[in-house]
Amino acid sequence: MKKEKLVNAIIAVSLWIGGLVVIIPLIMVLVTSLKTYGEANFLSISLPAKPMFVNYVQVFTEGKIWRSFMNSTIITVFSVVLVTLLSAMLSYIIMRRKSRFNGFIHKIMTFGIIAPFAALPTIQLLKGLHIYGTYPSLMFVYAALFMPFSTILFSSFISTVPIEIDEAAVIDGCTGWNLFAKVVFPLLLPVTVTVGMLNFMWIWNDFQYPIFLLNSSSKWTLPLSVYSFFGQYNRSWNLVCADMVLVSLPVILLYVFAQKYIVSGMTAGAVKG
Amino acid sequence: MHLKKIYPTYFMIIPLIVFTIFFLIPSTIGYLYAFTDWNPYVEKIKFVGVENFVEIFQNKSLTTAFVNTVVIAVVKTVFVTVIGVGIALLLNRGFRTNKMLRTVYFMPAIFSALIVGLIFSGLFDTQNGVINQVLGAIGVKDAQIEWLGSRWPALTVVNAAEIWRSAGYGVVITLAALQSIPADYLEAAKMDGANGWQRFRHIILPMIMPAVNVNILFSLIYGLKMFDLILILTGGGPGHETESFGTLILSEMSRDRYSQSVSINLIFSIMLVIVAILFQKYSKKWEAKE
Repeated sequence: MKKEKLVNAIIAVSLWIGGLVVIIPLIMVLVTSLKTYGEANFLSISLPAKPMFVNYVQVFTEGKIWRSFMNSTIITVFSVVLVTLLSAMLSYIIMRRKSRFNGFIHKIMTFGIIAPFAALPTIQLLKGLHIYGTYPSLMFVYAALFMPFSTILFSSFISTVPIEIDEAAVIDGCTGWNLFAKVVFPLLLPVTVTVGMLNFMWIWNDFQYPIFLLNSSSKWTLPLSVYSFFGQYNRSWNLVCADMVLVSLPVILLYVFAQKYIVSGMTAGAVKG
Repeated sequence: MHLKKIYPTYFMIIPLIVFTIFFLIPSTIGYLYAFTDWNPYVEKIKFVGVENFVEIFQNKSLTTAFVNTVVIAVVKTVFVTVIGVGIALLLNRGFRTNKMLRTVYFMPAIFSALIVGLIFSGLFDTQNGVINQVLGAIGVKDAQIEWLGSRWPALTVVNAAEIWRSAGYGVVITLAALQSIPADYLEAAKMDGANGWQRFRHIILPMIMPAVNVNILFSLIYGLKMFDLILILTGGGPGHETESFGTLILSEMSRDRYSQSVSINLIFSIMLVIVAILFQKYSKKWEAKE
């Protein structure tokens, strides 16, 4: 027993040392964001002489961060609502009305996870619909691209909700939209939170689709504006780091308060298939 | 009562319409553009058969991108899988801080590729980067390595960043699978005198294999789709040396070579589908759970 304790202690210590590979770069960003221009011509872990919170103010005023913060918020929130609602509805019908069609839906959803983004064909299609470069176009593309994974999560959860609940509600005269909205959807709360959180994280952080789909800088999301900010202020690591902290703040908060949901989503999707 | 009234069809139709318009159509018939002479200046697009494919296959940048993409995906997958299983096994021993450690190891996964890319471009900076400084301090002479200045060092940095970002997924997924193994299985094996390796090989590994397979598949697919980290760290350069499929599609597009960009996109799509099908075929355990 004593030997086991010793082994565990050694393992714990080595894992914490390994964890420094994760922690040190993040601390570097945090301390560098509080340095003066002179102190911060590179990323290091040394502490600033005096914390310069003014960097954050400067980033807000010079980096046009407010505008892109609003863009990111609008795009992310609407996309998350859209993908969550659509996947919940789709999964509900797939799981409740087991039809021949299901195998086909499963196949095209799998294709949706595997296939790469068809950049130019998508742009051309959006131009054809006269919505290229608009918020809604990006929201619908996100909804379509993130639907497959969310549908897998919803489907595996819905299969655990007893169909007797639906039957009881039907006897009381509750069908269609009412049945879904008033009876079933509330029962899906845990998986809805998970799907919402994961999609929030992915869409908020995403950098690839806005590059292709947003042509004017006034609609840029946060990651894009930080990218261009980095191009302009290449040597001002203090400002770039302050920017990085601001961009990451929402997902960090999410992770701190809802880690359980994020991790359970990742593992449910993978372990249960 | 009729199922269609209880579970109305439009519930399914609306999501499928969105999926079809914004994903399925561009990702299938949208690729017809690959067989045309489309670019921003052409007035009437016409059909040119496989001309674009002939051209891009003669082009060196496609081969380079193909090799880079495959190398990145394979190296990443090996590391993420090994690190994932290794750390998960250790974390599963249930000492006091293991929950906190799980949080730490998963943390990089929550950050945008942008953040990860910028951090690594700082760490691997030629003059002031911590990596070169550490190399100098441990006695490497003239540790002024231009990490992002040539192909393989740059791809090493890209891969390091990608592994740093995604190893946490491997850990978390494998750990969840480990925790679902009933304790009495291992207890019984211990009673029968199975040693640590035997328990791992004959009980633990078969039981976590489905999760490990999913992990490998996702690592491969997202590794092959590598785009953002390359864009931030090297921009595909120097020249087109560090381009992946994903960034090559963008760079052809920004050079107004639209039909060539779509052709590369189509090749890329076919490649991913083949990889996924082959993988599913060879990992039957994962298939069996569906």
